[in-house]
Amino acid sequence: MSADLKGFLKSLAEDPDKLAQYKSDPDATMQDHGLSDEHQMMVKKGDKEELKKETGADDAEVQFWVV
Amino acid sequence: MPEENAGRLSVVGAGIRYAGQLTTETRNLIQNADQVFALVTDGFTLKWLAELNPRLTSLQHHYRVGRQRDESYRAMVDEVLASVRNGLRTCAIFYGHPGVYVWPSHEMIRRAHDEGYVAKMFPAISAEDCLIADLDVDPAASGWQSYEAMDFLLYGRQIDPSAALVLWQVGALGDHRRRSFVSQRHWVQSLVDRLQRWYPSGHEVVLYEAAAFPLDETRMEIVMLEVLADATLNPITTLYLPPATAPELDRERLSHLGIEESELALGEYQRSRIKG
Repeated sequence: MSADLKGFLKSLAEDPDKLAQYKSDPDATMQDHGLSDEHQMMVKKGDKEELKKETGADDAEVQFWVV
Repeated sequence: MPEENAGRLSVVGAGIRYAGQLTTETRNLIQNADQVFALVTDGFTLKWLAELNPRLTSLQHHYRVGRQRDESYRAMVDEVLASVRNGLRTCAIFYGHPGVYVWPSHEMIRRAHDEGYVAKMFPAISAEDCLIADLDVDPAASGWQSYEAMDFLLYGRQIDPSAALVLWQVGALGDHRRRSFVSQRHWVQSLVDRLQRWYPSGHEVVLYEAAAFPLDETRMEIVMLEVLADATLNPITTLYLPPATAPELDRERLSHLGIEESELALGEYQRSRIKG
């Protein structure tokens, strides 16, 4: 599990300015955060299953409807 | 009757977007609970909520393909209420707004009240709130109609094409036994046929999916109504139909009120709608 990667994804989710910064310059934003090269590749690839596995997130099947 | 220090229930929502849409009161309720239950739609959100309070149990295990959804919902309610009966300050977290398109949240509050416990729902950001922001539409401008898609189709609801229409759970159209979690093309076509009573050929509708994860893009795909059955419908897809016509001024009502049309001062919000 990587706390660093998890912290980075959380910071994008919590701060719209940081997300905008990432969208405009992903490499610089990830470097500023101190992400490893391996994690930078992973984020750019955007494979959620891989990201879940790396951050220790539950990958159980989920359903959406509640009515 | 439960004692004064007995368990109590708070029902809250995590919002739609992972980590960014939690209200301050909800965060406090989660962190101060003795037991937390969560029904959320992805592993990132679940993990993040478990960091706010490690005494968290997911309710997703109640779902099973082939099991009727309502049976799953009743089991969720039973699990949460058992915690309240055990004297615990219990917090149940749902995806989005806990009271919008969610049956078990309302039911657990009803049953907790019946059993004499303190139980309260707290508002949160729903998919509709995200849709309004992302599509930049205001329910005040033309009016707002909102239905669950299958309920709309099967119960012959009438609509006003001069107001916006939102149809939820189009990805469940055709799951009439409430156990498959997929839509069926001929049901979607049947919806199109019905909507064409009010909407002209070429009317553009929006397939909307809020971005739940920061790396996701919001889906705001515009398609013509008549080809909707060919579009990809996912479990989180919502259908937005903008108004097709302008509302008509009720001149009889004006006369009844004793005013002339020229005396009416229109609000700026009314000027943005389709002109008659």
